[in-house]
Amino acid sequence: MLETLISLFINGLNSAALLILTCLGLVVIIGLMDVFNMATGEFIMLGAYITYISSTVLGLPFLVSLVLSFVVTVLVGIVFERLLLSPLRKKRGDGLLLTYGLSIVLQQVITIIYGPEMRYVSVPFKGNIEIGNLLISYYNLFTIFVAIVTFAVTFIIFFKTKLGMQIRATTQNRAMTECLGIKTPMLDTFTFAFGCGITGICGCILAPVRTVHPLMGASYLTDALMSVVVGGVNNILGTVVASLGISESLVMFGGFFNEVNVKILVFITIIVILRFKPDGLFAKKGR
Amino acid sequence: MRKRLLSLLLSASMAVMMLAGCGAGKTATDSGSAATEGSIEEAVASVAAETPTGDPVKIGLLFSSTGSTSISEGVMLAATTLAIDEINAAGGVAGHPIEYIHEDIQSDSAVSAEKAKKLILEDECQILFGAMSSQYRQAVLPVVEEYDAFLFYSTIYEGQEQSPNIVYSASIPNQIVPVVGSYMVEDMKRSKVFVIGTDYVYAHLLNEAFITYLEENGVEIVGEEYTAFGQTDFSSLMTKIKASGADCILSQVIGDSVVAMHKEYSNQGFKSSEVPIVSSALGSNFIAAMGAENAAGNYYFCGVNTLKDEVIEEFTDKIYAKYGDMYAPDSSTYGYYVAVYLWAGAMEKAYAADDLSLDGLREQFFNASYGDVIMDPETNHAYAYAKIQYVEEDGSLTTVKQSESAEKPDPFAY
Repeated sequence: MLETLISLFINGLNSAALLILTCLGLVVIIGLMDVFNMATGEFIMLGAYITYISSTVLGLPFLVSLVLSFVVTVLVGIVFERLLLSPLRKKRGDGLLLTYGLSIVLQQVITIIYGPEMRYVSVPFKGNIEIGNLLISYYNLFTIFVAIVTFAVTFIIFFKTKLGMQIRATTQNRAMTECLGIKTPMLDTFTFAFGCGITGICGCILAPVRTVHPLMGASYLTDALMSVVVGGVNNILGTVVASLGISESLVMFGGFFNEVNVKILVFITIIVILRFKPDGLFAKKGR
Repeated sequence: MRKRLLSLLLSASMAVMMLAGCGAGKTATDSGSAATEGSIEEAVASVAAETPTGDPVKIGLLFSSTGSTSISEGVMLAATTLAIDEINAAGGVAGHPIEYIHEDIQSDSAVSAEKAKKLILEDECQILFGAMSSQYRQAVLPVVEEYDAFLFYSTIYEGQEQSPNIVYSASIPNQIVPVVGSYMVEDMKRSKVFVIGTDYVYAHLLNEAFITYLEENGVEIVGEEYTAFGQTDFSSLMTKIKASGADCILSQVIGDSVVAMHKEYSNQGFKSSEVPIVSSALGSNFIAAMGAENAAGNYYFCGVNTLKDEVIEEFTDKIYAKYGDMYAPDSSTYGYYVAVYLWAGAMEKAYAADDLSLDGLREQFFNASYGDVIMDPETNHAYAYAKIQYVEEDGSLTTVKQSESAEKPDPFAY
């Protein structure tokens, strides 16, 4: 019984790590740009395909795939932001539609090139730590590690650097920040590309343990959206806490009850929370 | 404003997720008017060898190009059009070239019904192929019955249905369960089985049939669980199975969840020598996607239209020759290829008898036969076979048991 509980708890941490990686990219973009990136799932898919190409097709080491996934999605993010998103910066709803359009384009481009079939990526760090009957795979630990590092780097960039201070200033009052001579379009491009890059890393981490196919992204978007809203929309720390809470409750309760029912229950709980705290659990005050 | 927009978005996507539990998992993909492919020209062009002279005979194809089940349906569409092209190249159906119109049903039952209606009423197709999943077929059923059309349905399904307008040419539980169940009990000697599946009608009813059979044969069912469409996190389920002490997992999990499930199974240290998975979705495409190391030692069962391996091989070679490694065809995909031939043969007889009335067609369709597929006019289903295959270390499949002879269909056996 205790083993099952511990095992479920660690699985929950692993799910939370994956969810945090999905959300981080989303939340930094929303915070600064007011754009809800509907193509988040497709950037995950892109990261997963880059991993498939580099590690399965070209046989490169997994860590190289991790770096490539980040770099390529960042580049796609820069191009997309510069060419299409920035001209529409003042129209909030349009950013949403535009990224939704991008999600369809990305899905179809990958389908045209690689076909609809599922693709294979092998697990890089095989093996488990065994403590009695308890098994923890190295890859789960690696996933948790990558999530912690990514979160730490994001946190440092946004809260401990001059660039981060400028970004946060823009978040609070864009017009005033521009008046002070800060180039906000450059900050937009950086933030969007960085968000896409984190999402690319997430795709790379997911590729060996989940299914890689052109439509894989959609299933990750809802959970990410949920954590972001519960966490307080543009609150990085809140999103992390919400991700942990949602993943742990889904996995822990799912270990004892019917998973579909648990999911419905968690959704209802979230609706109730949002009814009483519409800005999320950790909304920033004074905005 | 932003928050209201986000809340709206959240509620919308949560509603979709919840609905996914009872319907097809719908993705953000949406396809527009591009659904109808202009392949008619191609089809007609390929006829050049022996140009058919009669009026074209139109058929409608209902397969998803978008959405969650499009992954499995692409290859079925390819198999169907391959057969059509071959028949056209050989002179058509009694001299009539086949014209096909493909509609993207978007992995959605409501769209399936809508597109079926469109094909019948606007495009004047009396014959439809596809609607490969039970939920799509059940949505199309009232449409074909109302407008006197026919659906050729060739996916293994749960039975419990018999429409005078649907030609069911694939296997059903009474043709599968005894073969697979007896192998699990007698050869694998399993005594504690955990039953899992994707949460929809096919998995529930097929599992029910299996549970009845296994319990009658002294097997204890230690758990039964269903997961949402498109679920990719199987950690809780695997922990649950481990805690149940099961010595075998019987899986009706379908779609892209299959790969995630097998990967989690390996991740949690399950060994196929101790707790093998007996799965209805472990065909070559899934094995390729999850890698041999995650599939080896487990079992794949399927209903098939023929037990002749060389026939299946010839078919898969043709798909590879036409599409490269775009698709991974197997014996279940063969069902769609052979369904077209089954229909074409029956249609030729209908032309020969000069009776294209509804009853005339019905008479031909439900008495049709092609290769090893023989329709049973009493049940509108086909005599079919089942086999259970073992996944070898290299990911190849070895048949370990199969039906001794074609089993008479009985859709209401369980």
